[in-house]
Amino acid sequence: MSLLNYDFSLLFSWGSILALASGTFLGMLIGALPGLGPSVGCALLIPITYKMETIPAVLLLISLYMGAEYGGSISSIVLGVPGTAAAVATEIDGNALAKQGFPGKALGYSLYSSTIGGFIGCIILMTLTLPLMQITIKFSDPELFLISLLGIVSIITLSTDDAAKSLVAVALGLLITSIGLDMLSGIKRFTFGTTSLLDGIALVPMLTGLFALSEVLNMACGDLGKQTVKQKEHLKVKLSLKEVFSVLPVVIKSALIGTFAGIIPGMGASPASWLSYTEAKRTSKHPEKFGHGAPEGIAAPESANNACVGGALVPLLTLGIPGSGTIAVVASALIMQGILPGPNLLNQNIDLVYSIFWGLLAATIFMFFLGRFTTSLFARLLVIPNYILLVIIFLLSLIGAYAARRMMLDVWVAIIAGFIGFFMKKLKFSSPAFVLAFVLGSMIEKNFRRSLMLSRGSYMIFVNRPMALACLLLNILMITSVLLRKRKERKQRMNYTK
Amino acid sequence: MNFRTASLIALTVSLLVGIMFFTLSFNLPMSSPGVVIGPGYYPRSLSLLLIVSSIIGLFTNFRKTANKTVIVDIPKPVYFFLVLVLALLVAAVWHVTHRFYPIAVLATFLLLWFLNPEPPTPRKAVKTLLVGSVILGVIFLLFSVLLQLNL
Repeated sequence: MSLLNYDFSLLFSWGSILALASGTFLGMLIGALPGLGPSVGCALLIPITYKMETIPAVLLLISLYMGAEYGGSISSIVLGVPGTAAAVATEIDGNALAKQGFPGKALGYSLYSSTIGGFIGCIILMTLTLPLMQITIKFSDPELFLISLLGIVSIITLSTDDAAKSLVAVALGLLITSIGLDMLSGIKRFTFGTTSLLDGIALVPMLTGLFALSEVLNMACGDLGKQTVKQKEHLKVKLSLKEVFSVLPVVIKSALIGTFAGIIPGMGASPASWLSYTEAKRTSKHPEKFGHGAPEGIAAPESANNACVGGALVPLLTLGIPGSGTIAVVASALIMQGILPGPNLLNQNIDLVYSIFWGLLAATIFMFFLGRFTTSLFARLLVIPNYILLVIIFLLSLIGAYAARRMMLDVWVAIIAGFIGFFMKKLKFSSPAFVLAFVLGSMIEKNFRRSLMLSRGSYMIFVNRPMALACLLLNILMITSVLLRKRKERKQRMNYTK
Repeated sequence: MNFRTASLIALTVSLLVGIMFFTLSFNLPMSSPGVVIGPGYYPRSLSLLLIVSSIIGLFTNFRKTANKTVIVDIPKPVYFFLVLVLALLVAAVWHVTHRFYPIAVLATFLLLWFLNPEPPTPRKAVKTLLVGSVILGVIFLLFSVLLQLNL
């Protein structure tokens, strides 16, 4: 049975349409609320899905996932408070463009990129599920370690202001991830006798503090009566065709990165958005504009994190392995419905598989139209004077830090991170470098140590495996290209001074 | 304070953090049964990286004399410390009482009153009360009623 022979009445039933629309809307809302990502959203809806039919139940959850990935960018752009971990990279340029008085444009870039990225992820899911699985199944610990390392290498090489300060930020970010219970030996590391630190420092409070609370402190030092947006025309979430086409190459490339990252179990949307952001900056003709409201800086992470949704479904449908935490919740909903995800699903329940494929595509369309007509309401927050906005961000940051794990430790972490983040910005320590290191830190350690366990201590495992060798060469290529570019720039500078 | 001095202080702090983690990592085994690389290997290598990069940073920033003329300051220190102290106060009271709203109500009204640049008038007081109530009401509806988050 081909995709086009699918019985579309399954998708266009009232139950399915209602599930898609409400899932997308709830996803956007939950994504926009700091601390509550798609995993929490899906987990909250699990009890409801238990009483629903299988197809609408799955559609409700996957459309929520898709909507939440876009929704995360709304609060990132408008308030500077990342709604989800995957939307942190969007905050850098999105919030900068919003502060320049163009929140509508920033949200427009996010919406269009999320839609195109989501579409590409769906198309890849529909057409290349099996061939891609053949490739990604060869990805194991050594390859994952080298891909994570690539993220770190790219962020260090892209930091232009002060390389030593970027290295300090990276080392600190990586080091903090070693706090907590060691996942391989079970030994406590730097917990100082407290049980709260056994799970380590969580990502959400760290990011909330670093970006949102530091921004609150920054706003307190600025013009408190100022309104970020005075012209209501700038609130409209609208882009011209020229503007869409200007970011299209970045969007397509980031969507491919996002889909691929989604397919690899354990990678997820957050590293995908950072990898695509750094790649967009690396290949941009104007890398200096990144961090100051560059449209590509919004388009790249948003396209990647929405494309990741389609990618993350690939290992679930083909191997029964959830590609991300949220997909694990979707898998548990399927199991509760009496359906076991995995290779047999394609043979035994092809209607459900095709409903997921087409449903995800429909959710992307719903997301676009809902976003187009509702997002400008969020942008209206920027008409409010700064002193009121400050209070809103202050309260949302504290609740957001607490909401993810419901631990008071996270609130303290957010406040400390906010204080440090304020001075990091002032002293030009790279916050993105710190965050990326923090996101990838545990992945690097876990995969590096597991690789050496597999090879019984031999480092040749990173060379002997073809995929690992390809990843290693990619790392070397990245470092070499940057070194050559720096050398060329130095020569040009010397010629200019002569 | 100029940018160079502030950078040197920040890098010294990061150097001290690196030394602290490096020293503490000696309490962790470098290898453990069944694991080739033990739990101490990664933090020790990274704390060493932090120490080395901080020293490089100290050295390079010390040489950057141009940074002496750039000033790093906090334009409105009173507001900065007001926000910071209130954040710490909210966290402390919330931690002890396990109740978010009582202290959040106080912090919200204090922030709205002191950060509003308008002169103190009855109109400002009414505005503070109204805006604060709306913000807290929406937060209560969203998190406590809709999402059932126990705050």
